[in-house]
Amino acid sequence: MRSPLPATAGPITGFAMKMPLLSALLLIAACSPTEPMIEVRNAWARETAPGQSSGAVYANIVNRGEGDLLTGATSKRAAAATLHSSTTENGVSKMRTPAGVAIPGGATVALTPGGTHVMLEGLRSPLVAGETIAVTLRFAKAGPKIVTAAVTAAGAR
Amino acid sequence: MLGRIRMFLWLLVAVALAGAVWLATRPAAKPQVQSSELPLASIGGPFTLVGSDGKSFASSRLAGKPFAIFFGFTHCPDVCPTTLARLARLRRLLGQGDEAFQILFVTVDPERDGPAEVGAYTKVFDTPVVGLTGTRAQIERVKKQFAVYSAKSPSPGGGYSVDHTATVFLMDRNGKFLATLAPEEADAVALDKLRRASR
Repeated sequence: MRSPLPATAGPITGFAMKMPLLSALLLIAACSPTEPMIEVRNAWARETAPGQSSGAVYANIVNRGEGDLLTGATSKRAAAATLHSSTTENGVSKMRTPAGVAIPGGATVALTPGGTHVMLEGLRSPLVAGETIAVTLRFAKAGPKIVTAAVTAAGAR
Repeated sequence: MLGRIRMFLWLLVAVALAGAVWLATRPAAKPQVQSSELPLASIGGPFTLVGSDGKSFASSRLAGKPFAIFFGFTHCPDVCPTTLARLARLRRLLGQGDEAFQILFVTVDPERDGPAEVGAYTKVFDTPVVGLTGTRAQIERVKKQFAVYSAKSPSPGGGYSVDHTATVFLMDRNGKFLATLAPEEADAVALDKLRRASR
């Protein structure tokens, strides 16, 4: 990606102080397209019942850069957060723990109900509709991304 | 005349060939019920389980109302709540109120899911869902009646999850099997079945 402005380091620093928007644009322009550019959108979780030990977080992971791997997750709300994938074969549903979820370059990977999701195990308190929870997704190349997931009513979607 | 017969025969050959190609290339229909040596029509039958109040729950209490029955476990964060949420949503979309059909959730994990657990789990959907558990023998019996498979699968963290049949069985007002609802089918298809059930 070529920047329309001269990209020498010296002038930009002073420039950046005065022009935060422009400097942000320059930063984006400076990002090499061969790095993963991960953005997590529409993260949500279903409300859980009191006493329910686990919940699930869903989201869309958009990658505008090169391929990456979602390797794990953490959340203060649960003892553990693990990648899980549900599969249904011949009517039988199974949950398995993949070592990672490939996020190919230029692709959007959807974590959806009945598919791959982040399972919150050992919830410290029930997920209540209307609140938001913080979940950190770890990517092999892009590093950790803190995601805010909206908790929706159990029967809402 | 002979030419016309010959043409007709060639036409037959062409039709047969087209049929053979279609048979060989069409996508195989997915069986919706695993394990069942049971023919679908014999799915169901009277059962006695334990309700969320800890009291015995006999299926005779359902007489006169169609019901959708789903087997799962309360430590299931994804498929089970998603299925129950879908049933709740379908019942709203049907627009005939909560009486149109009952939603039943039966645990296949009675060791962890007592009456209190199934009660709390089913209460969260903001719509009446009947949560049921039972003794191991009761659960095994009802699983057999509905050709439901389940097996524990150890989790890396030390606990376990349960592989289980995720098909919803739709039963008519006389408790007779009517249809299955598969997770991947469109709402319109499911609604059509539910409309037939609640007629």
